[in-house]
Amino acid sequence: MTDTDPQVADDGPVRFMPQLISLDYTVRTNPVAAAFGEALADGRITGHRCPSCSLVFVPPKGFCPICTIETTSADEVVIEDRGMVTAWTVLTPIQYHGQQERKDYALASILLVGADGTVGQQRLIDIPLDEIRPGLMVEAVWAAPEDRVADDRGYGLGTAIDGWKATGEPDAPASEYEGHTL
Amino acid sequence: MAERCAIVGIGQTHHRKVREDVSFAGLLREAGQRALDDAEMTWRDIDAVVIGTAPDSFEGVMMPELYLADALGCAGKPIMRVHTAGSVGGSTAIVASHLIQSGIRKRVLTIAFEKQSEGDTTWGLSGGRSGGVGAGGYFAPHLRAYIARSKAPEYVGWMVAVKDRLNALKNPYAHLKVPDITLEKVRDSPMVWEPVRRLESCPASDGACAMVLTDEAGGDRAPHKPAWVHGTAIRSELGQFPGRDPVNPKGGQDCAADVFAQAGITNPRKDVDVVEMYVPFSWYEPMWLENLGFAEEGGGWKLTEDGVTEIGGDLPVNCSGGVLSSNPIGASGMLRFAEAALQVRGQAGEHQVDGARTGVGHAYGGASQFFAMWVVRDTKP
Ligand SMILES: [Zn+2]
Repeated sequence: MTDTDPQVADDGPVRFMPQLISLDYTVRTNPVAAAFGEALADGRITGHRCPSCSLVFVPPKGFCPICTIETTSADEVVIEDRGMVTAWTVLTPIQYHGQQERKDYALASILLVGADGTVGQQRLIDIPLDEIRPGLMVEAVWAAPEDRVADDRGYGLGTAIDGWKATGEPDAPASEYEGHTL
Repeated sequence: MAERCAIVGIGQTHHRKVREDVSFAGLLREAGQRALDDAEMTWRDIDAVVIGTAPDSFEGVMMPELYLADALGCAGKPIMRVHTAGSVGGSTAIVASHLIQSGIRKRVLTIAFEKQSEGDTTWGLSGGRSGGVGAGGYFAPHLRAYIARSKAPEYVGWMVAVKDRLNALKNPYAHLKVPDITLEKVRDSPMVWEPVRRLESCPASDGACAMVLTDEAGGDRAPHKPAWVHGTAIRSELGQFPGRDPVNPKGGQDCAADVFAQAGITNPRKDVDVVEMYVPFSWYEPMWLENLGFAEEGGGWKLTEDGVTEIGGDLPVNCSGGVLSSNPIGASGMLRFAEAALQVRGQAGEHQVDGARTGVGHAYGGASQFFAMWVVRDTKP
C-alpha cells in the first residue's frame, strides 16, 4: 500500500491502518505430491494413469475424480516436457504485498504429450504476445536443479520450470486442443 | 410436500469501495435491520441466522461468524455459516430456505457480506505468494475460448458493460456508477486480462445483503407482498479434470435444469420474466445465458446484441447493475437472489421490470465450479 491509497486516508471518522503480520507455518505435503516434487527436481514430469478409465492426470492427484478410485505410484507414468497451448491470457499483474511481477506477461494452459488434462497458469517465454495461439507447440525451459521446488500444495509445477518456449514444430490441429480450455 | 417458504423482508447496504463508517458487525446489521424493517420484525422475532461470506483470507478475519453472533442477536440462538466461495451468497439463501421448507424453523434471517477494503482479495487468492493473477486472470482464458467458439463480435462484451452500468444508475445501492458510459469508453479502457477490459470488470466493494424468510403462515401475515420460493438447486464439480468445460460447465447446466423442473419451467426463455445472473466480467452474460438454457449453445451473445437482456427487453438480465456494478464478493450471490425477489414483489424501484412474476437468481463461484440458483414468484407454489 502507498500513502495515496484511500485506505490509509485519515480524514474520516475511522482511521484505517495497514498492518502486516508475519506467520510461519509448515505445510505437510501429501505423499503423492511429494513424489511428484522429487521427480520434478530430477527433471521429470510424472502423472498417474487411472487403472479404470486410462486417463492420465498431471500433476497426479492420488485419485481419479471421474471414477472416484485411488491411484498410486503403481500407476505412475512419465510425461513429455513438451506440449501444446490450449488457452491463455496476457495479464497486467495486480499489485499486492509480496507481488513481484511488474510487466504484462502471458500465462497458458498446456496439454503435455502423454497427458489427458492440461497444466494451467504456465508462463510463456520468448514468444511475442501477439503470436500466442491455440495449438502452438512449446517445450519446457527447466530451472537450475537447485531451484526446482515443487508446489507444496500439490498444484502445478512449482518453480521447476521457468517457462515454455516455442519448439518451432507445426501447430497442433484444432481437434487436439478443443475440449481442453482448462 | 415441504413447507412453503416466503421471502418477507429484503435489505441491502449501500455498496462502496470503502465503508469506513461501519465495522463488519455494523455492515451486517445495516443490511439485517433493513430486511427486518421490511418484514416489520425485530431481531428478537428471528429463530435462527444463516450467514455467508467468501474465504477468510480475503479479509484476514478468521471465522467472523463467531464474533458476529452477538451483533446479530444470536446469543442462545442457532447461527451457521455457509462456504461456497463466490457463489456463497446464493448457497446461503438456499440453506436458509431449507430450514424453513424442512419445518425446522419458522423465521430465519440470512445475511451475506464482504468488506473487501479490510484485506486484499488478490493476496488471499495467491496464498500470499508472488504471481497471483486474481479471478480475472484465472477466468480470462475461458472467456477467450467462448469468444473463439461462438464467434461473438468483440463489441458484445462492451454492450454488456454499458447495459449493466446504465442499469446501476437506477439502483441507489450500486457501487460503481459511470454516468457517461459508452461503447467507446469501454473499448478504450485498459486491457487488464486479455480479452477483459477494465470497464468490463467488477469493482471491489464493501457491502451486505439480508433476507427474512418465513413459513407459509408468516408469508400470509407479511406486511408487504412476499415473494415465494418455487425451486432451489446447488451443484458443484471438481475444479479441473479432463473433459471439464469451463465455458459451459455441466454443473451449471444441471443446476438450471433441476431448478427449472422444480418450478415447472419448460421454456426458460419464455417462462422467466427477469434474471439476476452472476456476471463479474462482461462475457459471462452470454456464456451463462447458454449454460442456463436461456439460449442455445453459441447463441447467447445474440440475445445481448438484440437488446433482449435490457430492462425493456424480453428477458431482462441484471437490472440492478449486477456484479459488474457492485461486488462485495460474499454478498454478490445473495444480491442476485434478493434482486430477483424484489422484482417479483414489485419493489425494485427505478429498475423494476413491469409485471415481473417469475424471477431467477443465479450465482457461481470457485473455479467456475460451484453453482446456486433459485426461482421465485409472486404467487405460492
Ligand atoms: Zn478414471
